[in-house]
Amino acid sequence: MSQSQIVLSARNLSREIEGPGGTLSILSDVNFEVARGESVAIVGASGSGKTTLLGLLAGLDLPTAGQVFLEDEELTRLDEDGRARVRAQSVGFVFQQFHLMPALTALENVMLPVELAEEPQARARAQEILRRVGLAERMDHYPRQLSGGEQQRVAIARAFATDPSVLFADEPTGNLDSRTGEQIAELLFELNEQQGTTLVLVTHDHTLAQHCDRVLALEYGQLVSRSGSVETYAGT
Amino acid sequence: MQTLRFAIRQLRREWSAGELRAMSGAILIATAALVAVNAFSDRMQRALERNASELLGADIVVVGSGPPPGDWLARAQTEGIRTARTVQFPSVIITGEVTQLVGVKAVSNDYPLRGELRIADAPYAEDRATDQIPAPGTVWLDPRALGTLGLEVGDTVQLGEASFLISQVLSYEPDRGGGFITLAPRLMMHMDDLKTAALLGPGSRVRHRLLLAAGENELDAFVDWLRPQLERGQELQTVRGAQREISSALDDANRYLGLAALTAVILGGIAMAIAAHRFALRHRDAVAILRCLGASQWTATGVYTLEVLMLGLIAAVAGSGLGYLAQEVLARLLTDMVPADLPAPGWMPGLVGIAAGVVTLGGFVLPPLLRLRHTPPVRVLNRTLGAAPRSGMLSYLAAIAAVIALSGWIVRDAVLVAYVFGGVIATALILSLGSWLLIRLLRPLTKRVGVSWRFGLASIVRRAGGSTIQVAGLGLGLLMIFLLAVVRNDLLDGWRRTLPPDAPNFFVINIQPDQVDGVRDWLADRGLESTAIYPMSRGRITHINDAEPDTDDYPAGWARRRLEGETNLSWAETLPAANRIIEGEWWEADTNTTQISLARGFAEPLRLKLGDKLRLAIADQVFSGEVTSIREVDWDSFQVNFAILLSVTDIEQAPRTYVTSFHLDRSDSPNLAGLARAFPGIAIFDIDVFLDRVRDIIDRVSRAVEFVFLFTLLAGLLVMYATLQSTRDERSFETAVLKTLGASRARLRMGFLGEFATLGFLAGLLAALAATGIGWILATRVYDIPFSFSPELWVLGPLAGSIGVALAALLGGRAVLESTPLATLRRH
Repeated sequence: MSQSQIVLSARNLSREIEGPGGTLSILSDVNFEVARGESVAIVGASGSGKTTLLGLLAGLDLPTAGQVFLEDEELTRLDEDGRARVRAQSVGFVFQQFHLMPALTALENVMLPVELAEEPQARARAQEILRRVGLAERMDHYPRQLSGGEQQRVAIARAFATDPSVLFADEPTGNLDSRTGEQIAELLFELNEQQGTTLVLVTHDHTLAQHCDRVLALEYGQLVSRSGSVETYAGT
Repeated sequence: MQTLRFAIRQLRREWSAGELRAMSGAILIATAALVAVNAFSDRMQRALERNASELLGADIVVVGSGPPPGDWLARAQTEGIRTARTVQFPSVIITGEVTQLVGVKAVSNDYPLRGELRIADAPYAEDRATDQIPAPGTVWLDPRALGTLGLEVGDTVQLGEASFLISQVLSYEPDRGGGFITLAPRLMMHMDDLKTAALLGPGSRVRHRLLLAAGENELDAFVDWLRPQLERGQELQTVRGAQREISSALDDANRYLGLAALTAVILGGIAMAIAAHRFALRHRDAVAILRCLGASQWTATGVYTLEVLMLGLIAAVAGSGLGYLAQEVLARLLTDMVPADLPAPGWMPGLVGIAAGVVTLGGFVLPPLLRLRHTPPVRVLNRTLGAAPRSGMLSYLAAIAAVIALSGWIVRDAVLVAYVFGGVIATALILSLGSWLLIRLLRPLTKRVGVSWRFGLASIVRRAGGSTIQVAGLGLGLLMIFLLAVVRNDLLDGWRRTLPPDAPNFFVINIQPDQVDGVRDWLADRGLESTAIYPMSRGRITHINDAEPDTDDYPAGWARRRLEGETNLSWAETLPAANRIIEGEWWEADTNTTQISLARGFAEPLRLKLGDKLRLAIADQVFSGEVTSIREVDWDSFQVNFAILLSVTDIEQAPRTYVTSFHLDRSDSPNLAGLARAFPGIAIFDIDVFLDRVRDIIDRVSRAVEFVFLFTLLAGLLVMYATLQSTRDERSFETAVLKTLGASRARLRMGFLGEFATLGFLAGLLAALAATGIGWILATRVYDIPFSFSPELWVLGPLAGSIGVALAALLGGRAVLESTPLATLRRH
């Protein structure tokens, strides 16, 4: 795999926090790379450190030690606003809690990252992608007027609106019933494929993980498997 | 640009969702209070400036107790200076059986030299300017006197020995002076009628004014010539001096209003701070999402800062508008006391108010908002990250300093601002301590009440911090109202009660020597034969221990004026009632040396003591004597009293009038018309009318101040609303859980009502306590009158507090009570 094909890499990544009982290690010495266009699932039990890892990969937080490279930028060397700039240019997010801005309509929520990245035609692009996620009729609704599944569709539309090179998803179906969850997962992978986005997904949903090219399993903050196939993960 | 667009969108959305009510309400109220007071005082100030040249009705006025010498007038005429004269004194008009004290002003042709008189055909009808004065045989009366006597234009009244036709209503005279408040209504007559009416005898209390107007150069030359000829007791008044005097009266009035406005601003600031804290808390998630989506720290916080500043600007502009409406109400509440033709308010107070509103908002709101930028973006993954923005007192110090500086600038009195803030902070601390203690006392109660009340009371106890702020803020608002509405009346009543029931209720002055026997007979006919009638003269201290006192040695004000001007004095053989010797001895009745007795309150400021030799000038006679006693005088007794009393010697022949006071049953008072008819020229003061007039003035002024304190109360309610909002999320979650557990809406409402009725009760109780305390201090330490405890305050206070607050809370909390549990729980 050539260097330019690597879009995301973690090198010797560790994260510790100070607790009442002394230093607690959340992640220790995590190393891996993600190729452009690849979809990777990070799995593990509650408390295994997978959400922390996602936060570090997206530059939402800083590691205690180690480096994160995203699109050849070393996130761990940038300041807060520098990391925000990289996110605006290259990153999309989908969360378990949807995290839509309650004060904005569905359309305005999707326009937001386009505007923040100062890219042109925010409205047209937002309308287009909302149509693609099947919310043409719901554009002017506020989040509280939408069902959970609809809110997650808006969140997905928002995540893809800037054509990000990497999309991070944190338990995207965790708050949805299984049927809606399946529809959302399908939509996510479909858009991912159409746009050639790299997908990094945190989940403990096996079915969802199966959709991915590769699965990384975390246990007590350490990577225990770097598998090319789901079966390997399922067997551990 | 995009930040601005987003901020506008955010503002529109959150506004319609009612998220910003507390904050905008606080800015609205604070700005309105400031603008109302400032616009009103601006109008008064501009009225004063506009009329500055009219204040004296001339360019220069010479005031004295006697008519100006003829050569002054002659000299003025040869120098091309226009002149006019006025003579002012109190007198009585009689119509049928009714008498009315009036301030007579007899004027010569050409009066006024500057400005113009305004007259109308009926009281309060549209008036017009005139260059006339009342023709001989007619008088012009001000609308108040006409109203009191039930008279109309065309009726006649008796004044002194003559009858006069009321030919016009006098609605405005330029040189009314004496601040904006005068006790006796004005009667204007022609100078030539003074003799006909035989109103003035030697020694009558009269002010003669010589009005002068000309170009600047002529006047300067004349003044240079005139000044050395002025005698003591004659005073040269200039426009600037008159302006300063009125200006200072105006400043005093504005100070009280400013004080009321400031407390509203302080409470508004507290409400803003509470609301802003909640605002910041609620937007942590949004900031984290924005950061996560790639917004910089400043973009993410800038959106909300801009939103709040825009809101502040809109609310401040609206508040300013409200303030302009409110100042009109103030002007109306003070009708009769402010010039009738106030100029329209200027735009400056509005701008200052808006700036003040925005600065206050910035000061209280920016600290928590700016701390928002520290919200870690990783909060989107884990909501427990990113601690609540701390609202340490320190971060508000800048805001408090800004508001204090601003207030100082607006009220223009650093000491007052220091007192107000000191007072408000001290009272707030005491109220906070009190409410904290009361809230602790509630704790054991929660075990003895039903489930609804238990939940309500438990809410108060659990949120002790918030509850304390609520009770203290609300208590402060109520306290201001109680102080004005109840304690003021208690103080006035307390003072009235100190008067014995047979305290004199009428004063008769300007009795001429040849009328004394007749007046004594009239009194004897009514069983008042023992009433003392005292001679009275006006004299000036020319020498103290054979040296002319240097007035510059004395502090400006009362003491200096006493030495420069004249003082009422009398002579007597025996010590009058209501007087007590505290130093030296009263003289023998048959002494033939001139001895002087001084009232303590007169002697002390002038640094006079036993043994001092004084020389007194009464008209053109001089009397010398030694101070042989100092008296304590009960001035409140309404007996006739004098600061200077002399032993009876040849002073008996000095120019004098006589004065007496007596108690006459109200049903006999029509007879006073007979007295006034029989002895023309006397003036009868009705103490009750005087007290009623004083009370009326105090009532009007305090209604105006109360009106401004209404803003304080509203700000207090806003503090409560803001704290209620700040616990709203927690409350709606609890309510949803309780509903899920089977609690009915009625039960929840009961708990809710219980909580707020209790909070209001506590606030009312503390306000009543504080108002009583302050009333007690005022009565015993400041005014020295018996303190009267008003039990109704203790019933009404807590009652009004609990009902008012419970209703307000029910309105504000409806959304929490009505929402379905599912919707609420899903949001959480």
